Amino acid sequence: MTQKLRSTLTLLVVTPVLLWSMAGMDVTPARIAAGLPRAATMLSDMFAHPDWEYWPIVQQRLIESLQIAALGTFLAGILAIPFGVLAARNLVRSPVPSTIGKVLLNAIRTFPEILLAYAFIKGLGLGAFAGVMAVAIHSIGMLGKLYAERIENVDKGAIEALTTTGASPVAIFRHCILPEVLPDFVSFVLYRFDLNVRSASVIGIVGAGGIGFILGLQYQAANYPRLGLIVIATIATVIVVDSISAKIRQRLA
Amino acid sequence: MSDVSTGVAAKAATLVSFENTSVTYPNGFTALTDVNLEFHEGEFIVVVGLSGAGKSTLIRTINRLVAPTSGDVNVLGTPIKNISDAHLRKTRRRIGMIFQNYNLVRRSSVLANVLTGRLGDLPTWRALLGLYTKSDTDLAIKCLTRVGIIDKAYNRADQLSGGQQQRVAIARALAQQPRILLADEPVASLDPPTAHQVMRDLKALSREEGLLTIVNLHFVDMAMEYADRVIGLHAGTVVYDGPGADMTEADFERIYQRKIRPDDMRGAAEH
Amino acid sequence: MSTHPALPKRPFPWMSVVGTAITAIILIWSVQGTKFNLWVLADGLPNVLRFFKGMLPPWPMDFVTGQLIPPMVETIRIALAASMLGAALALPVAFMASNTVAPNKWVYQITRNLLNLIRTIPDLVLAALLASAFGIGAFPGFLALLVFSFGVVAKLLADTVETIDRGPMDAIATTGATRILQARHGVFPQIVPEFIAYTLYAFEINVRAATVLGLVGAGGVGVLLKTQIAFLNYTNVGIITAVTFAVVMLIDTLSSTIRRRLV
Repeated sequence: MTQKLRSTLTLLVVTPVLLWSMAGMDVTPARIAAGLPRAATMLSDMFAHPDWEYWPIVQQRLIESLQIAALGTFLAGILAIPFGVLAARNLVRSPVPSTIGKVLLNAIRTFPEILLAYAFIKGLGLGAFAGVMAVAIHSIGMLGKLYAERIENVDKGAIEALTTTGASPVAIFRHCILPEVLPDFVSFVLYRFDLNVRSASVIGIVGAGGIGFILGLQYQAANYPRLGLIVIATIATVIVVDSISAKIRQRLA
Repeated sequence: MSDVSTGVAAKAATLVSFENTSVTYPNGFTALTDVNLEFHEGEFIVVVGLSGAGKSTLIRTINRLVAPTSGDVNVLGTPIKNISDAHLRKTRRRIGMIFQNYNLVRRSSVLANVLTGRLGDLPTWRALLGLYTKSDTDLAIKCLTRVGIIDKAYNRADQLSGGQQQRVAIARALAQQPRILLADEPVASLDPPTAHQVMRDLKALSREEGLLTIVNLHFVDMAMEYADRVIGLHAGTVVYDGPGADMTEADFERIYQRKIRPDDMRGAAEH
Repeated sequence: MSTHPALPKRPFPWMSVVGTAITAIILIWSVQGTKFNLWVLADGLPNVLRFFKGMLPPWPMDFVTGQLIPPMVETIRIALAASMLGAALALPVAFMASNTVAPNKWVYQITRNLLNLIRTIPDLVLAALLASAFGIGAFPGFLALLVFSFGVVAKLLADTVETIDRGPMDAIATTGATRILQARHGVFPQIVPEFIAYTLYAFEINVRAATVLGLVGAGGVGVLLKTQIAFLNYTNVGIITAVTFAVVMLIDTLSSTIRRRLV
């Protein structure tokens, strides 16, 4: 198929799809025009005059979010190991455990974190504890998948060498695979921690602790100066955590 | 210790024997056809031949990295074709192997790598916890000193040069206290002086420990220099079996089906 | 071991010790702050499981046909539109954020930092703000996902562009073509499969994000989810989750098939 034919076909397929998807949205210039000045005032209220007096509460809640992310990610980091081992294709002869493992991990990953938060609030009450569990269970999905893929990419040569010494498969896993993958596992956990600092901030909205709670509160109250402080503080925290985590991950590589 | 260099080899114990061994891979390629060979304690054997002639297969059949499809291979008194996994592991304990790419655990220290040679003899709980016994550690240190690399004991394996890594691999094999040592193209990734050094070390160790050593090489001059006995393979059959010194150009042509070329020679080493 | 004179001194593993200590401190601090408690967990687990149990089949099909389909379709539309437009906008920006194509160091740095900034904003915050400005409904959700998709695709694309072969681009440069043409003809053809893959990836994330956006009224299936939870209709919650899961799996399969056909 020539380049030109391919481009034209692509355009013919993509354009109606795009138009259809945009049509359902009531996107009129009028609406945008009406919204812009409102957005402008809102933004200025939020970021030009944030309510600095509100800071102590924000700080406390931010710390809570960080704690939720830290503990939740750590738990997931440990709990995901057996899942990762199960889902890795190269550890046992049959493909069955690996397929089961991968489907399970996908299901966990896709299960909305918010729903997990609701579930744990039901069992543990409102507050940060529920948040920790929601973050932990949800993170097992992604971490398990990353672990499994890493295990599937181990250096086959070293494994072959240890097999020829007559070491048992368990010993080989412990002394050949584990030393190779553990530093990378730590990297994955740090990466997931970054993402969890963001999501911990969010699940608070339904009551699972952290900064999300006051975010929802101030949003409902339309208190933009306080909302602005919250947003600024959250973004700043995320940026700081990201850069520290990135530096540590560089050292690990 | 029997004197291997003067044809009294028949008196030494047969450690490996190929009995009508044929190997056909799942993809249909037949690597070895009806091989009959006997290897004895203390021999230093080099296998030569073109790529695909079956050198690697021959070596890997000894510790059953590759399984014989017909016939059998008798290793240390055990016909290995159909033995159980547990029995195979036990047999492999006494066979050390080194590889072209060293195959060390890159992120672990040199000492940790050599210690992994002891894993086969450890009970499961010790292996899981990494609790080697004192005699294990002493043996590992002894092996490291033997290959002259004890000063790098705590370095990470991937911080070493190629020649050094191969020495660690040799130490790891020695830590198994093997009776047979296999080497699959051990020097192909090394520069000529280092390659010759490793071959010298292998030969000396083999002599001192009384090991049956089988090495795969594709450099003919090295084969002739170091081997007590050369096995020439062509298309899966043995076309030469005798002392390296006796090899003539005609023998060479039988193995390689062509005249000898410069790139079949490794080249001079600084002795 | 200390009896061996030749053995070098074992270097003290500073990094591991310090790292473990810091991690331990952070964890203890977090356990205290979040009031993590295994007994409470054990006590509360039955209730948690009851929540999940309530979501299981049998599922009343009339809910599916009656109430679920319109919001689901709306979610898919929003997600699709946001990912396509977001990717389209991301394309030129990705070029500027890659050190192989960017005209100079300033452009590169500024664009990269801007992208990082955008990616730090949790999409919920973005949706909430947009809903305040533009009213609730599908539109703010679309805008939020648009910005989000833009960020995700731009970063992934920029990283990919940095790994491509510069050959074709340099060859075109020698003909005196402008940078834009260099990018269009020298770089773009090399990254088409990735571009499509990333767009589909954004599409998939957007569908998943819809459940969250609904919390602030930003349209789609999420709003339905919120009301069902409020009414304690956990069976319906289960249906919504399962259908969303199915849709995401479908997109995943679609994405793999398309990518295989192209590469």
